[in-house]
Amino acid sequence: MKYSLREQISHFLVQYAVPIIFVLLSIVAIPLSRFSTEYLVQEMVARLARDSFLVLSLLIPIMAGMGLNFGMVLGAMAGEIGLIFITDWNVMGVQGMLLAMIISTPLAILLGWMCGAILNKAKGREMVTSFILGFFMNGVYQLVVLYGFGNIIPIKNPALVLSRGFGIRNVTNLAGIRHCLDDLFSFNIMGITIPAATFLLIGAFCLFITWFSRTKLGQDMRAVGQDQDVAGSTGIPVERTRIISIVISTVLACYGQIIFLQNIGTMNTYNSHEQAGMFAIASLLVGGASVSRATIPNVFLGVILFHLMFVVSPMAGKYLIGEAQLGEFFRVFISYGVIAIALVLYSWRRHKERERARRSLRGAE
Amino acid sequence: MGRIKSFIEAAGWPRIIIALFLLGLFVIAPFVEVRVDASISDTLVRFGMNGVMVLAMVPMVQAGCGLNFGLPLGIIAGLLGAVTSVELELTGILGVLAAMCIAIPIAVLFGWAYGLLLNRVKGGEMMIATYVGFSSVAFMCIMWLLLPYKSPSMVWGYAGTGLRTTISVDGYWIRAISDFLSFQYGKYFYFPTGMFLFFALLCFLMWLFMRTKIGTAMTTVGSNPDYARASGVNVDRMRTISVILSTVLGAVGIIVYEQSFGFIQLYMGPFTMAFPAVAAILIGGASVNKATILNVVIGTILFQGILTMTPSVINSIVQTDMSEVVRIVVSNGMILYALTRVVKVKSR
Amino acid sequence: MKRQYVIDALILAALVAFSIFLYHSGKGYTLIFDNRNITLGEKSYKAPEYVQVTLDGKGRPLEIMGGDRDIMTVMGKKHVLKVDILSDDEETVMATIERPFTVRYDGGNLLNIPAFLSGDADWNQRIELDIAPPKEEEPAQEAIPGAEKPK
Repeated sequence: MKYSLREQISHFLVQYAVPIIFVLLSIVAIPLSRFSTEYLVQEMVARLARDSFLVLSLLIPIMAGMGLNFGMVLGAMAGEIGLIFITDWNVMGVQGMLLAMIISTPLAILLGWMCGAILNKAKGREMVTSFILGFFMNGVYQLVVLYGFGNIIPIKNPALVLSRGFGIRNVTNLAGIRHCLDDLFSFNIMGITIPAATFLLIGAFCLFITWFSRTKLGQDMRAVGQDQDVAGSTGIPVERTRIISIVISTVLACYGQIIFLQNIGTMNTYNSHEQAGMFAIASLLVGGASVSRATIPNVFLGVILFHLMFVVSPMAGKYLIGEAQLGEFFRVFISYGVIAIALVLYSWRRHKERERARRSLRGAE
Repeated sequence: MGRIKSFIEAAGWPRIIIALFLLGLFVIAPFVEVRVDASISDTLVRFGMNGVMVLAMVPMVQAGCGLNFGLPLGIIAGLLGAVTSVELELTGILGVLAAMCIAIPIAVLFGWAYGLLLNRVKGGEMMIATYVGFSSVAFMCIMWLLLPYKSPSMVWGYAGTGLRTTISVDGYWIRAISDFLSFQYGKYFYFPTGMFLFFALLCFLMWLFMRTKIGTAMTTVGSNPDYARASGVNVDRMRTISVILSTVLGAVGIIVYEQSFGFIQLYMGPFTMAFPAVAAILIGGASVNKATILNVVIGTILFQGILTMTPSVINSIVQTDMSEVVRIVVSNGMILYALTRVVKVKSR
Repeated sequence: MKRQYVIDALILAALVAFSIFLYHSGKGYTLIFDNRNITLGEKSYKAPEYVQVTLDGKGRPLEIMGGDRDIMTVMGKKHVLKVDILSDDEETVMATIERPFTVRYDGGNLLNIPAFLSGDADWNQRIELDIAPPKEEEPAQEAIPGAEKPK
C-alpha cells in the first residue's frame, strides 16, 4: 500500500501530537524561564539517569497488550520497603543499594504476581483496575509501614521511627546510599557531570528489553498483546504470560525506584511511590508512546521533554505573569492532561476500528 | 440455611463484612466512651452531605458509561456557582438556590462536552473519566488564580486577586438547606431535616425520571446496547444525557456538601472527591453497570458510617488514628472488587 | 525436575550468601577517634600531642590534637589503622604504628588512640551515639500537589 505525502505527514502529526506540543511549549517556555543552557543540560542528564529506569519498566506490559501499568507503584513500594530495612541496618553505599534490591525482589515478585492475577480477572479494564489497585495497596503499605514497622517488624534505628514508638517517619533519610551508584564512576564533559554507572545500568536494561522481546516468551507476549483468543488457540498460556509480564514490570519498577531514590537521597515514605507512577507514565506518553505501542526511544525522548517542561514552567510562569504558583499548577495540569489526551487518542482509535469491524461484519452478512 | 446462602450471594461478602464491621463499631462505641447519639448524628449529617454526589453516579452507570470518576467536572461547575453566589453576596436559601442556578447551566455545558468525548472512547470510559477529572481540576487551579472575583472574603488579602484555598460560607448560606425544619435533641443530636428532604426530593425525581421514556431507554442502552440500537434508540444521545445528568447532580451535590460543611474548597479540593462517591455506591450493592437509588442510600449510610465511626472508636481502642488507612483500604478495596467481579459475571 | 530444584536451591543459597556478604561489607559503623589520656584497669596511657590518623590508607588523614577527638563513618568491620605521631612543630613524623583491627560494636565505637599505640586490647569501647531524630524537613523532591492518595 502506498500513502501520499500528505497522508504520511498527517499520520506523523497524529502519532506524535503530544511530543510536538511539548517541543513547541518548550521552545516558548525555555527563554522565558531564563535558565542557562548549561544548567538545563545538567538537569536533564541528572533526570535521565534518575528516571529512565522507572519509565523503562512500563514497556513490557505494553508489549503484552495490558496498557500502561499503573500497578508499577506496587514495585516502587517494594523497593521502598527494602530501602527502609537497609537504612535501619545502616548498610551503606553500593552494597546497601544491592542489598535493598535483593530484599525487595521477592516482595516485588509477590506483589506483581498478585497484580497480574487480579488484572486477569479484569480483562479489558486493566488500566483502571491497576490504577485503583495502586491506591488500594497504598493503603496496605501505610498499614504495614505506619503501624507494623517498629511494632511487629522490629526497627532499631530511632531516627527512622516516629516519636510515638512505631511507624516510619514521613521522611526517611537515605544519606547512606545517596548518589552511591551515580558517583561509582562519573566524569565531566564541559562542566557537566555524567553519572556513567547509572547510564551503563540503563543501557544494559535497554539491551535486556531488546533481547527479551526476541525470546520465545517475548514473542508470546506480543502474540497475547495482538489477540488473546488467537494466542490462546495456538497454545500460548495467555493468563500466565500476562502475569509474567506484570511481574517483570513490577520487579523492574522496584529497582527503578531504588535507583531514583539513591539519586534523590531522601524518601517521602508515604508518597514517593505515587509520584513515581504518575511521572513515569506521563513521561512515556510525552515521548510519543501510546497505550499499545512504546519503544525505547520514546522513553528517553519522553523523560527529556517532560522534565524540561517540569523544570522550566514554574520559572516561566513567574517571569511571564509574576506568579510561580501559576507555572506550578500549569505543570500539574500538563502532567494529567497528557495522560488524558493519550488515553483518549488510544480509545478513540480502538473505538473507530471496532466500528469499522462491525460495519464490515454487517456488510458481509 | 438456603435463604441465608442466597442472601449472602446476593449481597456479596465484602458488603456483609463492611456492614458487620459498622455494626460492630456501633456496639463497641459505648464501651470506649464514644457517644452513640453524637455518632449517629454525625453519620446522618455526612450522609446528607454526600448523598447527592453518590446519586450522581446512577445515570451514568445505568447508561453503561461506567463509574463516573469524572465527577470533579460536575464539582467544578458547582464550585463556580458557589463562588459566584458568594461574590454576589447572596445569603440564606436564596444564596444556595442562586449557586445552583448558576452551576446547573455550566454543568450542562461541561456534561455535554464530556459526554461527546466519552461517546468517542467507548470501552475506556473509566480511565479517561479519571484523568479528565484530574486534568480539569488542575486546569481550574490556574483559573481560580486568574478569574476576576473581587469579594474580600474570598480573595487573598495581600494580593487582592486569586481565590483562597478554602472560603467560608459562614455569613452567606451556611446550613441554609440543612437548617430547614431541623431540630436538636439533647446536646449531641442534630438532625438536618432540610438536607434530607432535599436529598429525598432528588431521589424521587431520579426515580421518576428512570421511569419516563427517556429513562427506560437509557437503562436499555446500558444493559443491552445492541437491542437498544435495534429498537431505534439513539445510543449516543442517551449516553450524553446520562453524562449531563450525572454532571449536574455532581454540581448540585457539592453545593449541598458545602452549605453543610461551611466551606468551599477550591484548588486541589475536588481532586479526589469522586472516589468516596464511587466507593459508596458500590458498597450499596451497585455494580459497574447497574445501580439503583436503594444502592445509593444504603451505600452512603454504610460508607459514611464507617468514615465517622472508625476515627472515634478505633482511636479509643488502639490510641492511634487509623481512620485514614481504613478509609483508603475500604473504599479502594470496594472499587477493586467491583471492577474484577463484573467480568466474571459476563463470561459466565 | 529434581535437577531443577537443586539448581534453584543453589541459586538461592548463592543469593543468600551474597546478601550476607553485602550486609557485612556494607554495614556502616561510626568510629570516634579519641586522643585523650586514659586509664584501663591498672594501666594509664598518655595521649601524644598531635597525631594523624589514616584508615585503610585512603582519604585525607584526620588530624587530632591531644585531648581532642574526631568522628568518621566507615563501611565494613575489618580495617587497617595507621597512626602517625608527629612532633610538636607538626612537621616530622616521630613514629608510625599500623595495625589491622576489627570494629567491635554496632553503632558507636570509641577508639582510644593512646591505648591503640600501646597495643591494649581494650582500646575499642562502646559508646552510645546521641542521635537526635531528624527534623521533619521537606524532602528535596518536587511534589505534585494533590498527587496523594484518594480521600
